[in-house]
Amino acid sequence: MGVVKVSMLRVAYDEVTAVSELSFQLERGKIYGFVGPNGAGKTSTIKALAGVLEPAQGKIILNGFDLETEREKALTHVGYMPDFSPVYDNLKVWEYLDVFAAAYGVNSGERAGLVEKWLHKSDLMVKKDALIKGLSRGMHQRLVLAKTLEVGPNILLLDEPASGLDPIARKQMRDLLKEASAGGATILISSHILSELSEFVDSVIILEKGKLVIAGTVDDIRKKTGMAQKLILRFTKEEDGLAVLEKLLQAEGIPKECVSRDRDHHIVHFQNNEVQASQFLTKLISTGVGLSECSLKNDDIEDIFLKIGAKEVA
Amino acid sequence: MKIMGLEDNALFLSCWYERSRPVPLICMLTMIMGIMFLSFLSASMSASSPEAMWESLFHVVITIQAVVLILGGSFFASRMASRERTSETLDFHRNSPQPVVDKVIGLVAGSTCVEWFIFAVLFMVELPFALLASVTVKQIILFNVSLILSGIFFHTTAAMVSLLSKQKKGTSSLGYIFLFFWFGMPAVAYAMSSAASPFFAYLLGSAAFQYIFPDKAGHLAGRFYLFDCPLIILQALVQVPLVFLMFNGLKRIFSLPNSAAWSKKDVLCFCGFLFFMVVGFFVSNYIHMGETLANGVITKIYPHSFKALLQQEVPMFSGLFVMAGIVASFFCVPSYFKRAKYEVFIKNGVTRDKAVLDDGATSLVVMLLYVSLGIVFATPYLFVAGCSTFKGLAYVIILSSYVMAFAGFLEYFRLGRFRNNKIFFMTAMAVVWMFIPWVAALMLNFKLAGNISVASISPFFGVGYAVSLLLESKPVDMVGVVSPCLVAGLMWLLAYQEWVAVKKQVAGAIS
Repeated sequence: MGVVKVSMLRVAYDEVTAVSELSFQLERGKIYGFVGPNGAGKTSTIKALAGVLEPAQGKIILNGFDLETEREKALTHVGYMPDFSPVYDNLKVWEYLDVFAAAYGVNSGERAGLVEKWLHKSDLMVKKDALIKGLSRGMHQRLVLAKTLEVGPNILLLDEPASGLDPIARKQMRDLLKEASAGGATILISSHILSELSEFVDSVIILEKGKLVIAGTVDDIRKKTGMAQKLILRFTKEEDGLAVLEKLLQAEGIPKECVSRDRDHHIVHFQNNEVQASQFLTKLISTGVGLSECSLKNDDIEDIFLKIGAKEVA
Repeated sequence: MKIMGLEDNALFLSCWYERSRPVPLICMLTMIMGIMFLSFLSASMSASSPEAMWESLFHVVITIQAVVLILGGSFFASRMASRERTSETLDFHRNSPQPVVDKVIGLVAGSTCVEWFIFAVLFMVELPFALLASVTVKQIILFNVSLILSGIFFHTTAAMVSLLSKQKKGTSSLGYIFLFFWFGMPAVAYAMSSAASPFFAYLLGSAAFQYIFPDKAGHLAGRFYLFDCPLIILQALVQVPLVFLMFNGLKRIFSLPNSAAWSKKDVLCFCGFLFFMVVGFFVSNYIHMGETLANGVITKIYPHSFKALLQQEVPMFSGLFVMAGIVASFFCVPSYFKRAKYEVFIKNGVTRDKAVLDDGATSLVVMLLYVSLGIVFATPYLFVAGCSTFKGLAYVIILSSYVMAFAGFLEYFRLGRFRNNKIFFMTAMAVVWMFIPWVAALMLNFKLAGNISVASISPFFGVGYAVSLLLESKPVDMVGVVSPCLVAGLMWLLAYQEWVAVKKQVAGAIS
């Protein structure tokens, strides 16, 4: 069942259309990656879903309620985190969490425990009584993420939540999001760090110039777009290895354009043919060429985006 | 803190936490107690009698009470509302499911909680002083009720103005302070004076001081239309509807992020209310003309002249008609976004209730309703002036034309391609309302004291011309009446052009 239903959404700033005719549906308990180049309309869409930007056209249904006509009911279980961290500089960390717990209807008796729990979860316990203006950008991000998650929303709208976070904090964030998703929350997350999204999103929505390019699970998109596998090789003796590789490519009828290079790695791209890729690898090994590294990978979100998105941008 | 659910009100808490820090609180209390202590010493040394000493102490306490609640409270309401806007935490509150009424109450009450607390403490302090100074309990209660009404009015207004402002974080507010002292203070002084309509005096809450200082601040007679009313009722009649207006505006800011702060209906109601009140005080002045109020005693002075009253009230009403119309048009004229959205609704066949009052609908109908209201409320002035129907008609046509011209041009500007260049709007208005009439006047060897009608396309000259039609026995010059109408018509033609253009753009975008 769709927890979020967007139909024919159009968001415009003056006469510049940021998003047009965008329709999609988000299912309960899934994590959706919201991907697109700068100016694709990701932030505008998320703002419209969060009710902080009025769409010029279209319908947004959240938890079965129309955002335009039943605003308070629609937003009851929606958590929103923008791409920067709006905070009250002169509030203490615990006070900030307390304020937004109250905003989502948590009564005063339960708030203290909830705030403590999320201070621990977001690793901000040591800064509990510090003024927010003294926190680093990464801590701001963690605080705003904690504020967004603490009330257990069933729809989470996160715009670039990982920006400014160090690798440890990013992993913590991923774990928190996975936990929320396991608890039934639907998460729409936009990010430029596509490799990170690959690790935990169920589906992807790719936007380009305000329009939907493609949407679906990563596997579906891979199939739809004819994307496939890449064989990543690193030879112990590069010259010998290259010679063998060229011969084998010729023998298999694979064009040279399917091979790219990333520093001392050679990447052979296969068009949606897993069998061909594994057979190619078997043959390569049987030639006795020295390989120091070898892996066969499916295209990830970054590859898909670069191939679809970058093409559209170009 | 279990009051009205404030302990669970997010905006209240956000303000409360920031305002209840001990250091600023102690500093504020030290200042107040310091002033009170020094006043006590001064009064005890200089007072001629114990009663005079208690009286001067009482005056000090009520002055502090008023300053803290009105100035301090408004300052903090404005600051906290500004904090929401500049830090963009306002978006979080827009996104939260808390009822919008709670959000508004939380913001206004939370930002001024300290001032209300001090007000309450000072009330307890002033009671013994007042009784020792022979001030009656009724006086004290009425003074405090009046101050409470003014406090609520000023706090909601300050929060509203601050949320309306486009000022970005870090921008200096010194300019605004300068502007306030340069233009605001004389305006406040005028409004508090006996020359202004009592409406402004009630609006600024000067009734409170009339209870305590009837000799010094006693120019309010407590009359409205044909009725005698207690000052507190009249103050409530003036301030409470405005509090509701501000409240509605704040609600819309939270729930309709891309809409004007006030709906067309709000603006019309407010303008109707404004005219109703101003005319009410004019009518009561007219009926009781020749009476003066001194020491709470009404004295009749004969003979008296209607002319003096008209010379004071007609220019004020005329200026108000034009100014309120111009301000109203800022809220009623749709933005390009709203107009385009409205066109989409129409194109998609979505029927909308009260389409004329929709945010995206043209302001033409609403502005016509506004001028109709103005004309209805102008009739008492026309009646008292005893002018001919033709002159009365010329007067209302001239004044209405300025309002319609401004609204028409604003609609053209907001829908047109120059909409992002405010300087274009200001230059165009300066050309139409200043340079063209000036040049025309020069060409016709215009002298201010002579033929003013030629410059009447501009309200800067034309309002005076319209007023002179009522107050002086000069004939109506048709040039002076027709030319502002032509300008207004031209402006609406321009606006019409842009309606068509927007319709085409929307049709193109949808197809």
